[in-house]
Amino acid sequence: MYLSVDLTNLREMTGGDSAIEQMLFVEFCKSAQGCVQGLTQFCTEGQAENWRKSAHAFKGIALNIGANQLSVLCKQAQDQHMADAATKALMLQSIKSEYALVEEYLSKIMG
Amino acid sequence: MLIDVIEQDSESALLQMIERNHKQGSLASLVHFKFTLFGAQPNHDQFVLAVKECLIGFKASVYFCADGDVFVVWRGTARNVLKQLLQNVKAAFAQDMTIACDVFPHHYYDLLAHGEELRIICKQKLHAQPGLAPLPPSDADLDAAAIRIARTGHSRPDSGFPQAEGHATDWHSLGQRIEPRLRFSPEQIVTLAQAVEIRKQRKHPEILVVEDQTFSRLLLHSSLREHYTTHSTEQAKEAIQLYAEHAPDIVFLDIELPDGNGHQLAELFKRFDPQTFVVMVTAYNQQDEVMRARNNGARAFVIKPYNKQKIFDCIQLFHRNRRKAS
Repeated sequence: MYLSVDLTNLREMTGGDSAIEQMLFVEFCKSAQGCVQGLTQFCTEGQAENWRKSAHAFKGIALNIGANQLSVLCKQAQDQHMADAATKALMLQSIKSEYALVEEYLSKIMG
Repeated sequence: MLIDVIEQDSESALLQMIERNHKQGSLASLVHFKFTLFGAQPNHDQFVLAVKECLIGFKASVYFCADGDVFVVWRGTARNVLKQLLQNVKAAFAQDMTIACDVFPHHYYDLLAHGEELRIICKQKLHAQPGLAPLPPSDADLDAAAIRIARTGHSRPDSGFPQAEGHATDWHSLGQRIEPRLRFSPEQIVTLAQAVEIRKQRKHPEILVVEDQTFSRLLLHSSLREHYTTHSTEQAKEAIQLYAEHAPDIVFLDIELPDGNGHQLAELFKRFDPQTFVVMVTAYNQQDEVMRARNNGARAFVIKPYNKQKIFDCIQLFHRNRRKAS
């Protein structure tokens, strides 16, 4: 079964403290939504650097929570920051879809 | 010889005056000094007199601001003027006084900070006379000058003002690549010196986490908080303040920050506190970033995702280095 998030690293970091995990999941979702908002805003011509920064930030938090597929998509978006708006729109769509899976997974854990 | 000393109460009035006076002239360089005096405090008149004396023999215009800012306008190279002026300032003050001379001599940077109108005038002048454009000092020169703290008591040297060297400067591209400068204030330098002394007595390391993403910052903090006193921030400027207050033993430093970048911070910490132990943390996995981090004094490099092993390997490395040093 495909798992959108591998929490092994995170649990090792938190020592399995569920209260901290809950707080981290909430913070992850907040940061992620900010990144999605940034990518959406900068999904136009002439915003390559801002797009790259948003994708880079998203990649960092995706890696840290263990959302590996999401981090791969963000890396692609970061690497292709000079792409045209249509290509960026496609990348953004993939990122949003993957993030929806991650969010759903975390929601289930949080109850 | 020309010394033109003008005093103004406010910086904006002073800059207007500079602009008026040099509109028809050939403005080549403008340096913004801020002198902060520790120990015996002279009054403003004494201070102005002392700085005037420093500039006797120099063909320059000097503008004093009541808050201690001094603007010096001259034709010549920034590098030589700074060196000479700092020597003279050191020599001019009494022995029981310590002077932190914070220099903001980057012409273009200062002019950008102080107003669009002034910037345009200066650019026109400089482009009109490229042969007279001053060669900006290197960043290392500027920072060395910025932190110079001198105990004085020597006689003032009599050498004159240096002449222009005829270097042309591409002011436009210079303005494009200047990043916001991150620095310790004179007060923070004093605080840091005290904190470094306190650190020597400390048994357990203190850690500073500088990371712009709240989630990643909390994650790192949560893994460290059980064993270490940990401070954290997302801002470069706040990191400087925290560093000055606590002189942390280890700094986990992200590269991309909203108000600066980690490389600049690493370099700054290293320069003021050679014992600093900076670990760069980033989602980059690029050789040039690693090399830049190393050149700026980082002792280790962690590529995201964080995991406990990577973090504690860095802390172990810190302990090993400390044992070797002692």
